[in-house]
Amino acid sequence: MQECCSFKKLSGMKKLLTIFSLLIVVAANAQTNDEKELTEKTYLLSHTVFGSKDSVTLEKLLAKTVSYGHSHGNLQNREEMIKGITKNQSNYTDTAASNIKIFIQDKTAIVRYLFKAKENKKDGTVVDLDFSMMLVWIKEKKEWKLMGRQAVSVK
Amino acid sequence: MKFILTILSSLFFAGVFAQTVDEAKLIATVKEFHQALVTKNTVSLNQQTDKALSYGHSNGWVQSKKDLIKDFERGFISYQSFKEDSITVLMNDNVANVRFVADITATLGGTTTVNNYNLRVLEVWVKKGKRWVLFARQGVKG
Repeated sequence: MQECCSFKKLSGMKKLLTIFSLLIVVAANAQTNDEKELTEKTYLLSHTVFGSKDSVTLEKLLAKTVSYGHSHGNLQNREEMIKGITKNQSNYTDTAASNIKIFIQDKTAIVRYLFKAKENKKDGTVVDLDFSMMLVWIKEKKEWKLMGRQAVSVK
Repeated sequence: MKFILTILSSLFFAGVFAQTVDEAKLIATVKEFHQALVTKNTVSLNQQTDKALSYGHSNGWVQSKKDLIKDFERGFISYQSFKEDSITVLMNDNVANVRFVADITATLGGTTTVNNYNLRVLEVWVKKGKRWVLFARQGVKG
């Protein structure tokens, strides 16, 4: 009788442990999913801003309110940002994003990365870009959306 | 009908008022934080910042929370003054993008040379319980 019960207890214990470890795995995966989504969206944003300049993609990536800061200190709101990007006549080559770092705090995430490119301006001049980027992402209806951006030149 | 309208408009004003109070509270916290940088009040700095803080300077240098506090303690960086102007707050639930123009004087690397910085700054504050804590900061030369 005694043995039977202690065995039962043990098996109950094992079940609990299994449930706990499953929960841990789920939690760990959830974190990874956020990081995965943020990394993908950061690359997509970069490709859109410096490549496709597609307004539909931009609209999907942006939160309802956004503040978009450039390396020279000028600032744009959502509307100005979309207009600025889609009408930008420069062509960017040798683009490279590296050193992505993600910090998540509940429904806010900071993504930092380094961005290098050659900006080929309409007048034929070429400028080397070397930026450190900071992005602010927030969760809106379960999706990460861009709420803020600040570029800084590190040349 | 009038009664409902009155209730609705009171609720609306209460909402607007709450937002303004929240903003005022946040701006006060932001200013306190900047003065704690000047006075090197590491106890306040520790409370006012998130443990995942990333503090970016205008030359691309990024300090972690640990770095920020350690660099004060070892005298690597010292702020003589910190003035903020034209503060704007963009709030979304428990997150706020605080932007302002900063006028800063500081010494770096243990030298006595005083540097002047005129910066455009973005600070990201998150609300934890009833308190706002700094989550990230990026300055850029204005």
